[in-house]
Amino acid sequence: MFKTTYLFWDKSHRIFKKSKILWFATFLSCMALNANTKEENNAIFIINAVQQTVSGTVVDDNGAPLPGASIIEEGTTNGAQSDFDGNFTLSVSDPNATLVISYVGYQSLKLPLAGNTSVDVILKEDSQSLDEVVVIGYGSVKKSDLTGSVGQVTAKDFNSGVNTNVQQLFESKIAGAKVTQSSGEPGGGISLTIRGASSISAGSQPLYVVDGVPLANSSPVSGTGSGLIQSSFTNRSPLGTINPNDIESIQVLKDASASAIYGARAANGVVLITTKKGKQGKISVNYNSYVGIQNPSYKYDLLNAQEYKQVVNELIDTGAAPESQRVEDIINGGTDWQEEIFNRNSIVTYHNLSFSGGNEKTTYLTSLSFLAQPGVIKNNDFNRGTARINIDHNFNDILKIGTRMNFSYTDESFIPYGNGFNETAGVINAALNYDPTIPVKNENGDYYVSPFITIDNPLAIANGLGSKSNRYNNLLNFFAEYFIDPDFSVKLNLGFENTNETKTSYANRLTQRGLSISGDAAILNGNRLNYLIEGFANYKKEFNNGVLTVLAGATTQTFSDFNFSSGISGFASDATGPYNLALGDPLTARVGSGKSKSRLNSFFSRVNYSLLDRYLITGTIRADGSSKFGENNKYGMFPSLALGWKLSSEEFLKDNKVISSLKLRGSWGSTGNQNIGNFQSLTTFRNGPRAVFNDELVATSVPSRIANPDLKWEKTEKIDVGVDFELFKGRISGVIDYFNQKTTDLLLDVPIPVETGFGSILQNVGSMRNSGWELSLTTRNISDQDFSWTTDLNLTTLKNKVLDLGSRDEIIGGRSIIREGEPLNSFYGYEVLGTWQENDDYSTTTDNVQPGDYKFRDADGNGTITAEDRVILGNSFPELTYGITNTFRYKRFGLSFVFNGELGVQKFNENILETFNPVNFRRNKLAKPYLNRWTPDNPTNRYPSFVRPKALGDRSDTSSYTVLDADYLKLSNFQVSYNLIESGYFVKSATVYISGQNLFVISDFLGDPSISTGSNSSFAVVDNPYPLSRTFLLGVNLNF
Amino acid sequence: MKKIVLLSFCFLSLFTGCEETLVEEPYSELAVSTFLSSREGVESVLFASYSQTANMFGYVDNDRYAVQEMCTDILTHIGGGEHGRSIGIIEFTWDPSHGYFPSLYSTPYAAINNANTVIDNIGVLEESDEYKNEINAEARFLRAINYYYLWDLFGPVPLRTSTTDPLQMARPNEEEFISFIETELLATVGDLPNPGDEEAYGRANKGAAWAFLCKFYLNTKQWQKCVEAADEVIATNHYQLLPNYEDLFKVENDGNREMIWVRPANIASEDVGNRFIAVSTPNNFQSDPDSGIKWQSNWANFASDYLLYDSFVNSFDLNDDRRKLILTRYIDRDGNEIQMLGNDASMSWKYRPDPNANGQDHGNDKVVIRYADILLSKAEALNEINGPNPESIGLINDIRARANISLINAADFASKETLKDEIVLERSWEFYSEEKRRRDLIRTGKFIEYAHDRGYNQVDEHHMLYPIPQFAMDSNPLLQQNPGY
Repeated sequence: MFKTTYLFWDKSHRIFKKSKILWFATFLSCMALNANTKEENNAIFIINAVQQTVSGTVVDDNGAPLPGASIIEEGTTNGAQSDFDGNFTLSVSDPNATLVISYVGYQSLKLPLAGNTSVDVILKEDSQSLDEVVVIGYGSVKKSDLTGSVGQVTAKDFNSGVNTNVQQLFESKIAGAKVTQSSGEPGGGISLTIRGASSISAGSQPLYVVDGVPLANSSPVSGTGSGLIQSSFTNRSPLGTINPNDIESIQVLKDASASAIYGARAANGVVLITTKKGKQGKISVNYNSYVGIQNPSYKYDLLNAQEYKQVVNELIDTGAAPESQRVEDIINGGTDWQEEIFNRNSIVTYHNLSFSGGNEKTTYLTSLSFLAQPGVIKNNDFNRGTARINIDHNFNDILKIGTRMNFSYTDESFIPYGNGFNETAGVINAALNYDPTIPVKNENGDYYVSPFITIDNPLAIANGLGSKSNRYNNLLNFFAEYFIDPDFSVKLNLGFENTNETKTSYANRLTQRGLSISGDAAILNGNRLNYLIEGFANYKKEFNNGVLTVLAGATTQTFSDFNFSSGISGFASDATGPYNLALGDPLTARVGSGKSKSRLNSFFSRVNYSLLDRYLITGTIRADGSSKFGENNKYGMFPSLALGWKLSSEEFLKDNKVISSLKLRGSWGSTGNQNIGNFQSLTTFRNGPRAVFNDELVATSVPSRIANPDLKWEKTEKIDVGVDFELFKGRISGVIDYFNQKTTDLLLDVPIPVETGFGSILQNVGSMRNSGWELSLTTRNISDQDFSWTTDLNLTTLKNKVLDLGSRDEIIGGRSIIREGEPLNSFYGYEVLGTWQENDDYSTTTDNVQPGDYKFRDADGNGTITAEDRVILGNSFPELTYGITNTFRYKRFGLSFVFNGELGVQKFNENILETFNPVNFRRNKLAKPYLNRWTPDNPTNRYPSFVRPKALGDRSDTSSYTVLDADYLKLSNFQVSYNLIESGYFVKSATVYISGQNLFVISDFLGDPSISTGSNSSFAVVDNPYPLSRTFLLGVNLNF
Repeated sequence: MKKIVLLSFCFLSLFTGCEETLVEEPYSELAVSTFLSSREGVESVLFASYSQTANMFGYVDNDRYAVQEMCTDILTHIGGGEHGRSIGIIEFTWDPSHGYFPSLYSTPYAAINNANTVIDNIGVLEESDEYKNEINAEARFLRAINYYYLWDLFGPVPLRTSTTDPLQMARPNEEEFISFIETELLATVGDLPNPGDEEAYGRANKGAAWAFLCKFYLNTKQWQKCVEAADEVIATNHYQLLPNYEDLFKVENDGNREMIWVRPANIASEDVGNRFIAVSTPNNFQSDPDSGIKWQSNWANFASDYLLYDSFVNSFDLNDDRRKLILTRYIDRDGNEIQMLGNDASMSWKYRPDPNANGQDHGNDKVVIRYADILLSKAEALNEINGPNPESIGLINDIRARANISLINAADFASKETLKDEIVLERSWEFYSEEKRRRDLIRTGKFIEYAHDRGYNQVDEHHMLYPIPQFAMDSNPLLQQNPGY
């Protein structure tokens, strides 16, 4: 049945070509010639038409019905949608009308009826074909003509579940694009690195371009404004303002050929986001909603109250701490502080409503969405509303204009959970370290404060310290493309992005520190604006043996930024919080403000030539001028060149039974990174530390830096060689790439003699290489009418190597080292051999060590452990990163699950450090090391005795105890769906689904290794992480 | 093709004057050209040098205390993340990458750079010569005392005297360095105002310059010059011993006549808070049964605890007023009395808590040089010149009388050495917690001996200088490390 249909279509398609081509051409030319009177002609058509009903089915090339496909009579607004079984009926005005059949993710098809009243239509899936169109910088290209390395995910393949940030939609779906969560805090904590880290100090985040407008990549306001409230780790991604349901496709531009057109901002790769457009036809209404239940996905295994009492007292017995530290009682059964701060079974909800439609000339899409997500820790949440209007208008194929408008409002509450220590500890740090033998509150109803440690009660922090933020973001863009003739157009593109954020913070008297200064309030306001003006021309010319396309244009983008902050403490009452600063003590008032502006002026061009549809050549060039750079280096040139060879178009591979499609491509090019702060090339004065004269504060000024007028962009030369292939008519398809990227002129804070009064000067020195392989593979394992199974696999290997650091061989940081020949920011510390045992030979060391102490490796063999004994303990670049998605469909059921993981990577585990080298004896600890610690009766080498953790200073801090293998395998996502309504009258289709996120992770890390809490991708730390949410949700998707 | 050329031209014309639009405007920072030609600009850089000289910002204001006393017979430490650093000083296992050193090396140099900025630019100011000379003298004074601080910890270090000096400079020899400090202080003292006449309390004056010279001569064993400088301080007739020792360090007595040079503190900024109490109070402290001081909710306490050795606390005469500023027991929050003395856990409460403290930031100024130090320095120098003599005994007795302990007699001291030992002991009682003990022991030759007494037998001569911090060594290839590191 399935095969027959296929043949039928194939045959009928050919018949078309022969018998109706003349009619079709005539029709089209009439349309074109009489463009201005077309409306009238249409009317005449309808009046004269014989109404005829056409019916048929729309299926995919596996024979599976495509419900909700749009069938439109060409040239009219008359249309229908297929029902659940792919069936449709449509009354057409003319038996010879042409039907346009389209479905998201599939190639649209134009089907002249030629009098047929029954048609079976097979749509080809886009991803299966190399002829889908891929969005690239300033345009698009047929996938088969693509010479660059571009990873792409379209809406139907997005990850399901709660995705507050766009990056989560393609996490583990694109080879070479590594999405890292730094926190499970709602709304925050996402970073993306493409093909490793190409920079030491200028950041590794890619450039995000939404519908042609590059975004500014930072929040207008940072910090909390109050010294009492530590700001959390996570920056808000600029993509957090976009509703995931508005997105049509995401392209990740990886190699130079694809990305060099973005010049000085392309070194870290470019992410292009294209939002949905309306489609011709009757109004289509989509309502999409889910409700989910969230819980923390990870809980540390700490000593419980009984274990804690036993361990602490046993350690005191062996002299680890004075008698006064002894645990006497477990009061009221003690407390599991993690459970106290968790917000278990919290409910997340999302609603999305969109309307779209249009006629031949104008299409529209408008959508509204609302997301309300509480945190899995108490007292923080993320709420976002968005509204979008996308309009496209085609004026007689001569002028195409359109607009993309996105408005979003975000309302967030924060609690401090970051890396503050001791008195400034955040809520997670406090909960992990707080004494488990004491109750939450004392008899008076006040929060119980441990007399032994200076951290505040975790619940006092959760309820006493907090910030709220309101953020308004407008992202608008307008474009007009004028066609001088069909092959020659000019386009104007205007973009505007504005973010205004106000953050209020208050530390109240529930906390010790809030009490000590009678409350502290702060208000921060920031406004960030960027506008873009650009124009470019597209030209296409066909020659006898090939096609030439040329793009050339110029663009300017200006970023400006203003912020204001104020704060005060000493309130008579906490009642007004941060909303009446005038009630604070005027002597404690503080204010600040700042403004900056930067600009890029650029020219760009791209030339493609396709010879005999077999040999492809693409050249691009961009000249970027940036205000951030020194006066001697304002402009940079970023060229690229790529070659492609469509082997499958050659005679010797045509009609090959195995290879359906094969293309070789290679590219070279140069890109830049200009992501440094403003003013870096100037000598200026900034605020210095306050001085005191006559017991009064006096403001001072200090020089900000030693100027470097030669400052310029970092330059990354990218080489990429790839193969795109499709075997057995699409049963197996994939892409293999080898990449090698060398960054030179690294922007580096080069230490200058400390005696100058400055630590460093920002210079362009040094070089670094990132290289590796990427494989993306899609296999259609089973492809049956009732049952199908598809597997998508992607693998990335990565090697990072610092090649040159200018005049120096290495730069040693606190816990890491940048050394020539080694990966960037390799962990640098002491190797632990085990534990000193009673029968060991103590004459080998002059250090004051005893049985049960750490035994560090004396690397230089001089009998004492010094800084010279530090060795490289690992690095943050995974040797292998992988993602595997399996999708099953059985009749109306769908099932998919996504695994991801990393191999060959180390991370720094700060919570283990706290266990091995506690700041305070009476802090709680991870259970495993303490319950299995060294004692004379248990002479283990795995753990020390913990009696003298600081016997050799802080040397255990960065050691093979705290730098751990962070290999993991994670079931990050699954979804089960069921098509409830196949072809309703009012509701056209309905799908219900259940999906889950962050289900389990397998590793030996004593923590969640899939998180990196720091912002630096080359130095992976897990430090009191905000746990990810394990979410189960129930969703519906309705089409009207 | 014509069309393309034409259009390209149109686009290009969008950006007429591209270079000009890329000039960066430093909106929120001050441009160099105008700033240093104004009185306000120069003064604000000078004031930054003052603030950096005090080095009270961030959480490093106790670091100087740690490195000056934890390697001596007075101070030890427990608790907090700081213990990982303090243990290195206590047990003499520090190395060039030790965590206390960076700010103690870089902040004085930041102060020196700002002083040099003032000195380099003062000439072009359109102001009176008198004003310019005074500002210049203040800047040179600050530069000199920062070099003195550096010399005390690290030995002679590169002498940068202008912002235009080459980036990399080598270390001078000891004589050159010492002579620089002396010459500079002597050269500026004439242009500095008399004590009390300075623009504001906290600014440099003649008394401070002579006091630094006095201490500098003492520590470089130029005894006669030390006596002369002490006499210059005394001759200002501005300074006096406060009658009651306990009152000296109270916040309400900031600026009293015994203080010659201080690190000024103020509760209103983290840049200048005195955080002594936060590291000198037990975690579970409720009240002090001796002074009656009760813990206030506006005070913050750190996990890090600076402790006094029992042997030191027990060396006091029980009636010594100066011992009353030591916490030897306390009442905890459960009402129990906890004994500190006997467990090497007494704590110095010299800077009595500021009732208005802002969390960890207290307002008590930290002492650098006070009049008692000048008197005892003179007594010590005279003993070095002449052996036990009535003037020295008299000066020491002035100090002992104020502390309410018995006076000493010249007859009790048979030799220079015995009186010197008495002075070393007296100085420990008088100046504990004032960042002097390490230098006192080094000067009097007892630093190594006392370390051996505490069981640190590996201590030798090289420990009398701290190493140049590793990050400074890494940044300047011309630097030579101190011997033994």
